[in-house]
Amino acid sequence: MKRLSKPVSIVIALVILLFSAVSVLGFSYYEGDIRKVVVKGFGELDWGLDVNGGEKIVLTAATVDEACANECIDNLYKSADIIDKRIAALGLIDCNLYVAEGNRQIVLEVPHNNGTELSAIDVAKYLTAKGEVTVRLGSSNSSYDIDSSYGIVYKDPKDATASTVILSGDSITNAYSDKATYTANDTGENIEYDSIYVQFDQKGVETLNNATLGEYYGQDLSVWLDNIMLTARLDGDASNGFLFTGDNFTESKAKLYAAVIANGKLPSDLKVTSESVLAPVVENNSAKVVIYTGIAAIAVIALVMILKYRLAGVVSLFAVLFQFSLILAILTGFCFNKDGGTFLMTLPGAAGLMCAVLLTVLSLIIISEKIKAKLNNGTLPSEALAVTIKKSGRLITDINIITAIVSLIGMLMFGSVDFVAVILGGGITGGIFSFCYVLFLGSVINFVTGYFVAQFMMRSLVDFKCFNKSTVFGGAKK
Amino acid sequence: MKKLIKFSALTKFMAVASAVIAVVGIVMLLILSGETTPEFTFVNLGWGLVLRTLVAAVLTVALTTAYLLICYGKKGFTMGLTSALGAVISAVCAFAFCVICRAPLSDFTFPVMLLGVFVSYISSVIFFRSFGTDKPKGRQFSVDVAFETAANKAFVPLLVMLLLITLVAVGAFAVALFLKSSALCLYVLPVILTAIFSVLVTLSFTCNIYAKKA
Repeated sequence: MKRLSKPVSIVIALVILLFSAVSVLGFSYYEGDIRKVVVKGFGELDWGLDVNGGEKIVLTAATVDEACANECIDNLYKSADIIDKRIAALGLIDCNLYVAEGNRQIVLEVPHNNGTELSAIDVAKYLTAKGEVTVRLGSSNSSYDIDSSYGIVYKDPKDATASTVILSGDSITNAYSDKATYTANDTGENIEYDSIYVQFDQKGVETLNNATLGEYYGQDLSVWLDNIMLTARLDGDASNGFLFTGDNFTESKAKLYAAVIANGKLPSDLKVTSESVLAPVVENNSAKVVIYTGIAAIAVIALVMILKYRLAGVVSLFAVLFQFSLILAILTGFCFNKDGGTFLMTLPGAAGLMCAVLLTVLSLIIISEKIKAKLNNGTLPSEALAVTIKKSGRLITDINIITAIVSLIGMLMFGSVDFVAVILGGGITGGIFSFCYVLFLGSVINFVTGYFVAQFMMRSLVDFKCFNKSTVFGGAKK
Repeated sequence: MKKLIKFSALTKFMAVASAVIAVVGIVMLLILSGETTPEFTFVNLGWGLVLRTLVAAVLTVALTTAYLLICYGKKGFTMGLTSALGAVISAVCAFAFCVICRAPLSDFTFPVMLLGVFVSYISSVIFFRSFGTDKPKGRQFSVDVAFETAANKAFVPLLVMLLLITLVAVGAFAVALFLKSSALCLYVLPVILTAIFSVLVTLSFTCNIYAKKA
């Protein structure tokens, strides 16, 4: 095996220390009163329901008729299934949704960090809305509201708008949010704006074409979601899908509306019977618990590994630090995600992070145990290292790949993947998803941290005369 | 090689123990179901989750077996099935440990079960590698001797990992207790028991099945 020069280990150690410091602490500066984030650290990580809390909404079947009890309960489950699909379409993984059959209720818990500029309760209300889409004549409304993102919401149609329903949402076949563009008259510049594209079935297209080209030619048609006006003007044509563009649409709002529209309306009316703030599951200390546990865990790992494997233990400390900080950098987006939100971390995700760290430690234990066995058989440290690295590579690869497979399936099955939701129905479980996501990252990164970093550092360190001894690697004294 | 544990003697014991733990867990779940538990429990999760779990289990077994088949040839098939058996037993027992230790059946139960699956798969892979490459020297050796040697060899790194898991869990318990996060404290014992049980049941029971079949 080719020998590595002495400075390699020092350079690797310095790079790991520097990267870990930046990744964990982040880097920001102030321009006046405004904080500019250059690198997102641990403090910028978005936390889910269990750490940061959220809001809870309880919906009860509007008509509770004993005569149709079974039908009511059936509708409750169908409604929950549609809400679950809406959640999947929005990509909100850390949500709790369940049916309390005894009380004929649907309970939805939404985290404060929900990826939109709306409050958790507003998102919960949209997700559990009846979802009746109507195209109406004109855009007269009798009231308006300000939502939690300070956008105006026009409500309650009146006059001709209330009485003239041109099309209902039953003929909608698909809806998705995307950017639309228009060319500015003065500058000729193409300007993008957020929109919802909605496709209708043949009957719907014919009705809309007849309305826009015939009876209501030249008049504006508005689009409503229940009693909320989404847009005062319907654009587009049948071939590309009709375009809904609201004055206060943002990317996340368009995505939320599209998620509601695309999955159809609820089969029965539900009324909101309670709204409440959801405290973090573990009081207000969860983030602190994670930080302190992480520090304690790394300290314990370092202590045990150094006591048992000496120099290899020190190497494992650097490998663990690198593993931890690389995963953290990916979760926060490091310097590539200055404005957007980070991965929504939960306590199960933190447990996944701990397992990912253990994966690296295990790789180091496997290498160190093999080195120890060789040294105890009388092999020189440099030779023992060369043989061990070659031998343990296959085992570490097997462990990483098996872990990656298991966690990848977990991510696929319990995340918000569209085709899985379509085939298997609801069942997004944010806890499993975040655990598997972090563990998957850990298993991939462990190819670098658990094997290459470890072997490069050890091969370089063994070149120092003082380290080229059996006892330095935890072997027996000769 | 110095033998840490006589795994072949543990085989039957671990098989019976896992069955007993699973049964006790289920019985306790039925008895305790009337008690006040968090609203977000397994009971409320519905068939969507059950269906996804079953599909996830089938896909995991299929893909891991396919990988082991590619790497180890025909033996990979037996490896895939036995490691899956170990993972399933570990997951079921992890759930039972949560019930027995009276940890709330909330979102945090999943990581405990997944820890069992993770540890079990790792134990299987380390054993397969030891069993395939480190056969005892000498012309004649029985399957039991080969199994015992490989299981003990695989147990050495796993023992250090178990020690670390236990210490980290105890550390987390201390931190959670200090910060008055009592809900987290309830999962410490299931985590430790799951990790230890997963390693032992995989090495002594499912790996023994593999050793006899291979």
